[in-house]
Amino acid sequence: MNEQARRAAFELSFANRRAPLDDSSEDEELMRKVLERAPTATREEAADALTRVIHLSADAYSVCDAYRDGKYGQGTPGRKAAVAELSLMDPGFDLPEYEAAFATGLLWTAF
Amino acid sequence: MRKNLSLVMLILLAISLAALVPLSGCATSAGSKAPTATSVQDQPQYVPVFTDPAKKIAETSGQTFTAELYAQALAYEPLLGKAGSQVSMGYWSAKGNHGSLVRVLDAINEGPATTPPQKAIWDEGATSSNQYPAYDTMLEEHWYERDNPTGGQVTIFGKKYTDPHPVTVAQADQIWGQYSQRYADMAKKIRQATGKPVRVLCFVQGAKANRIFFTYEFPELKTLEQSGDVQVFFAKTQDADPNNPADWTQGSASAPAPVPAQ
Repeated sequence: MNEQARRAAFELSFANRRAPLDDSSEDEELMRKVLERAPTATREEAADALTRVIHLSADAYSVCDAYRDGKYGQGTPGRKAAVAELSLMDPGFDLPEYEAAFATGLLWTAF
Repeated sequence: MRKNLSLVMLILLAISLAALVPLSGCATSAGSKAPTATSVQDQPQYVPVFTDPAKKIAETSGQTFTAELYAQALAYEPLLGKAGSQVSMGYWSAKGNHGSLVRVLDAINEGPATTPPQKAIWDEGATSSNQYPAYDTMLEEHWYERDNPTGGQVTIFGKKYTDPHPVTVAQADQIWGQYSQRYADMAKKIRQATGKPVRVLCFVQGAKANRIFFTYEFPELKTLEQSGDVQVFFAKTQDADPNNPADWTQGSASAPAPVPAQ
């Protein structure tokens, strides 16, 4: 996995927090942006990074939706359990990224 | 989505200026810079804004905030306040509906010029890509990252900060809910300026009863509908065409039933 591409794809989905990515997101535009930010990445590596982040994005939405409905419990223990589940669903990211994805998912699911 | 060249130039100018101005870690929302440029966490000058949630709840509870949002919308698109303009305001809730609303906003704003002009806005901005400064500030305030401090510190974009005003998820929900309610209230000002009821377009199939649409926005829309400031439409499917009346139901009474919270 190209780390630069993975980080770029993560930022596109979560740092600017506009909306969850999905399979119908503007793939070519996203691909161009990932490659701009990760010039060492091949097109295949950028596509792989995007796929991983799209899955993380969708799962962050689902986990936060369930968290809001009380599936993981309340407060810090519930939050930690939800973040832990997200990390099991989408391996390959680090804890600050899972926490950032979770916080962003809370915003998406607030609406 | 179309990027406005002048906006990009303004953002670049703001970033350049920000690099010359030292920022404190506990800034207020006034004068903050929008985190809309790429690689936010790589901007050396980027510092989250740790607004006191009580202060923000007070700020978003009144019509002054609506006036601020309306002024920001007009700054992007003066036609929103022009007599005769037909303005649409978009709403979304639940998975998959955000993209549908973006599609409809773009179809209206980027379609052929019409007489009278037609413009569409949403809670994020005056187009799908031009965000209100107030919305950018809301993002900079990182309400949901601040719920879980460890030793008084929160982690934002991988960096630790001391947050002088811890926030609960309930407070974050209230702040975003009130922000959205004030956005809905813009319809009254738009109607006064244009002379036409605002067309409200909602993609809310599958929306849950305990989320912002049904707890903050929809009650406000019903009030605005009763006063004649808006006409409310609900998309029957996520592919609804804004120009095809058959794709929509009209009136708040035709809203999809909210999905009960678990």
